[in-house]
Amino acid sequence: MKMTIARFDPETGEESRYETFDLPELDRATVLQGLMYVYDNVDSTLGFSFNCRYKNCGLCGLTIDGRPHLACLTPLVDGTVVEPLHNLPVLRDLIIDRRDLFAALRTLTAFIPEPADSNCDAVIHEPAERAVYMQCVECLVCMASCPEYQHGDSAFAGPMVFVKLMQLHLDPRDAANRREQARQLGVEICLECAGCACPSNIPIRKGAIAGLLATDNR
Amino acid sequence: MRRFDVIVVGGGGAGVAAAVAARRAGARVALLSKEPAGYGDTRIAEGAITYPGRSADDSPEVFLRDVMSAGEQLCDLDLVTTLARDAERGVHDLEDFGFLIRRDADGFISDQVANRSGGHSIARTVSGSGRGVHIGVSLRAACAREGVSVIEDCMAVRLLTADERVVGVQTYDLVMGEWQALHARTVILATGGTGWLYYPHTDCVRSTTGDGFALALEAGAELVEMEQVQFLPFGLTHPDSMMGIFCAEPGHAGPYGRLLDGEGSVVLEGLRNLNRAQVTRVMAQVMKEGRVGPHGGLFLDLRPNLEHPDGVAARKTIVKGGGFKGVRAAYGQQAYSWKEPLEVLPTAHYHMGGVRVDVDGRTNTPGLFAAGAVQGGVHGGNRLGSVALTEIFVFGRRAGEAAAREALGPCHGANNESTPQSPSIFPGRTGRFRPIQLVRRLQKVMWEHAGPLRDENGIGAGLRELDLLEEDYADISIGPAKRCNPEMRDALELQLMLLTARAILASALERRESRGAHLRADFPDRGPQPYRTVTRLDDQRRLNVTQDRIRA
Repeated sequence: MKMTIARFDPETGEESRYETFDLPELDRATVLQGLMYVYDNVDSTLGFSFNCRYKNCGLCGLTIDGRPHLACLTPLVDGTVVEPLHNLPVLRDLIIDRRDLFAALRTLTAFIPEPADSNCDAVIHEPAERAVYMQCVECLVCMASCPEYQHGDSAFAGPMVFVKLMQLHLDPRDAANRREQARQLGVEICLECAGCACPSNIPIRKGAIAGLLATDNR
Repeated sequence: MRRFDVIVVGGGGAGVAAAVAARRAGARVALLSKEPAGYGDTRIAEGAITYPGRSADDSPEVFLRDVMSAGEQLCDLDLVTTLARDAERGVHDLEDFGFLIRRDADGFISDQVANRSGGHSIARTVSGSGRGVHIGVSLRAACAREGVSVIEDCMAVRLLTADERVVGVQTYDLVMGEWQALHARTVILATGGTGWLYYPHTDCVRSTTGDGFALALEAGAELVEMEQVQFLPFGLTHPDSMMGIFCAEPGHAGPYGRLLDGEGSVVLEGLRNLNRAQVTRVMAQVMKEGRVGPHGGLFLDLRPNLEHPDGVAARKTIVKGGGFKGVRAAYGQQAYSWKEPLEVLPTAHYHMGGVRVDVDGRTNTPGLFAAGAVQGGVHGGNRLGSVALTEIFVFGRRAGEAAAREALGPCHGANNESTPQSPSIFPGRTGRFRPIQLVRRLQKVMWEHAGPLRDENGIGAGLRELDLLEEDYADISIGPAKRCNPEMRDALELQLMLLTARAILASALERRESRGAHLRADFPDRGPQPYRTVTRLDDQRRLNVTQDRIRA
């Protein structure tokens, strides 16, 4: 079967070109397996990211036949076309640049305050709904599927940031006003849109964003 | 040239715990990670951590006894004593980073939320929503909050030494393709285990290429028990993309789960009460006899559970906790429902052996510390379930504090900082072999000759294969790209993998007995006197393994 892969070389800076590879028939092959096959057997200059091989790490997000998804969970079919995630800077071939994400944690204060005297005996009531948001593997598929998000746009932080803020909003130990923060980061833009996808089935628009836009006391 | 007080190599749980502790002790700290920070094996862990005290009959002493007895006389008593004493503080640190442990209806971490992980005598394991990824997120958050200088996409290629003291790290920026010398007063290795040396027979992440073991050896540090590689008994066998991925723990087998050979005969019952080493041992023997299924594995038969109410209830609990999800994807709904046997193979999961350290992570090389999976001595011959996360937070913090103390203390003289060697691995290098070909050959050697069941002939063959690989390594080709060149990463990792693999094989040869996770077909019994295998590089850069008696 055939697999077409977008290639980009930062050192020439030329537009991506598309290269098609012939692969043998593989038992229930995934897109990630196809990429590893090409890398191992045909062309080991191919750049792509993965770490855990099966749905836990969030590093293998790609645009697959036009839609963003995790490569390890997507079946490979004859004629599959893979490109890097959209809306994000590309380093080489299918590798996107994630290095801004750590710096953003500091800008966003995306952490709980250091507790003065907490210990494991602290009484904490975690809202049950928080569990679903903790499934986020930070794969950036939501950012790539978002019609509004563009990397570097300071007026709109993008859906993954709102999921993170919702995680913190529902953490009883967090002190910051995450709803106000979300408004400053443009969450209201999401009011008329539900374009974001999530491989972990997190209800981003109906759950996280709705929760951040709500005005109740929860 | 950049200077720090402390450099931490590795961005998983142990690395972050060490970096945060050193930072809180007032040190300027850099954390190097090949992946984004927080993306090591910790991120894909079950997210379960264990500490004594959820029930009245538990205590650090009971916890210590469990760990020691699983380790088959190879645990270091001082390390385990420290682990048991500091465990609760370690769990506290994890929550302080942002993770939230699941509590009971009253908001307490009580015996109601504790599970009994494999091999523990008491329920003392706790977890939280989001499992490992939630811990990964918390690790990143803690680095950001504490002002750790995080350097991502960066590989430690060599430790810099001066007057036999470690004074920094030679790094390679995997994105920009640039070499750099980072100097520090102390360096902490927290590079994780060796799972990727066994790909595809591993459930570990791609970054677990065992870098730290080789870096430590090169800097003159000693390793202990490098032959002790833990294979989880139940990894998936097919499709190819899921080979080695976690299937289940012995504790997931329910009260009636049993193991069948390839022909359907029962080879082991009572799985639930056995630890990983005990089950893997039986499987390795049956596999050696060739009584295997179509994918080379044995069959985990959980069907008998469905005939008993307590078996059905056990399945419900396990599945509710997220168990067997990989099984559904790989083997389908019938298998997920336990209505047909699951073909399973042992899969490399954790490295018990590692860098020889004291209770503060100090190695025998001045200025060098180690913590987490790369350290040796805690688990001896077998690690119990959920203790790896405890180990990370206990020893990560201790190493971080000690390394910071030493870095901020009186100067140790070493002013003649070594200059980085000029690299022989560079983009555009021409040769006959692509690095990934050699990586795959090494992985095959390790599975065949340093896998769950070993013997002298096989180990010898493995060592000769490594000799050939080293010759071929001198003749590798690397594509010309400077930035994000994946062959550069393969080549640099392979250089370290070759030494780490040799340490495993050489230690496996030296331990002429079966003990813990190390099984020798030619020495099936445990020897009378326990001893350590100690690995070091001699003056001629030859690996040297000796036996150290263990005081009873």
